[in-house]
Amino acid sequence: MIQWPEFHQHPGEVDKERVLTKISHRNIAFSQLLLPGEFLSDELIKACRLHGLKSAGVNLVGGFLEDFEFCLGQKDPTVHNKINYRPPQKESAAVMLICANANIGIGEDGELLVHCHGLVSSHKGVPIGGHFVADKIRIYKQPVTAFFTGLVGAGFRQMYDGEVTHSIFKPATL
Amino acid sequence: MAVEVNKLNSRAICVRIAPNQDLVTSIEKTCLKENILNAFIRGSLGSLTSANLEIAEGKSQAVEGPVVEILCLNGEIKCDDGDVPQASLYGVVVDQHGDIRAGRFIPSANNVCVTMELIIEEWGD
Repeated sequence: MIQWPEFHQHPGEVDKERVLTKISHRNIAFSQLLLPGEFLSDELIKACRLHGLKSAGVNLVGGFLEDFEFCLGQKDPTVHNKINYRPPQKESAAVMLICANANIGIGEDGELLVHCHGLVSSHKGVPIGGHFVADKIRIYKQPVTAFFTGLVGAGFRQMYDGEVTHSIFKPATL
Repeated sequence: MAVEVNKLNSRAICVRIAPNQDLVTSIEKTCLKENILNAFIRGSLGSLTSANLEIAEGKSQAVEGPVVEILCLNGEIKCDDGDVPQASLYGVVVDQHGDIRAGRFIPSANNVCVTMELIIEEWGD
């Protein structure tokens, strides 16, 4: 049965603009093998740099990951109405990547930043997933194929959002 | 090894959907505004306040919030006879307890929680 979608009042002031967009009039599609032993975020950023990109959307296909850490969302117990991530959960053994999506954009420090969510199968065969801690996770044993849509002239930039009180990716001219 | 394909005639729109906006209809409205008739959804991730998924013909599954993370989302935009974009979005979500569900996102029944970031990749000229 369908439940009426929930409404969440975040701690900050509501922005009038509810859907932000920027158009890249030229985009580049390519695939890249992410190499074993390397950090997931490093490999994704390296591929963007190789193609001169500041922002891209990525689909990850197959392979294995080690030092796997992920986060789930929660209501912040210390700040009224704030949503944040729980502390990371860690897997002691390698996991099989089932599917994952990532966006790459420019972080607040001016460097390329990866935001990745996905689903894996644990070494016990249990499906688990959430927000990937991409700078801690390593590609394991065999390459992971990444399909990129690289954006030119526009893309994601990390900016503080006064409504949700987090720094998040928003469309920007790059 | 990289295989590169340049697609000079297609647009890609990066999108951020704000809290309490419906996932499916926000994408459809964006496509209508930008006159996008056919598209693929790429690089999509974010969270919902709760989720309503079609899990089989005539069957739906409600996933309780307050925050439901989208693990994977794939979808396409096609036009009906009246050139009105319609989005079909399929994906996998996880609730705050780690319970995972999969299905088709039901229009007007999936509000964004913190943010939804995605790329609408236009197909065709």
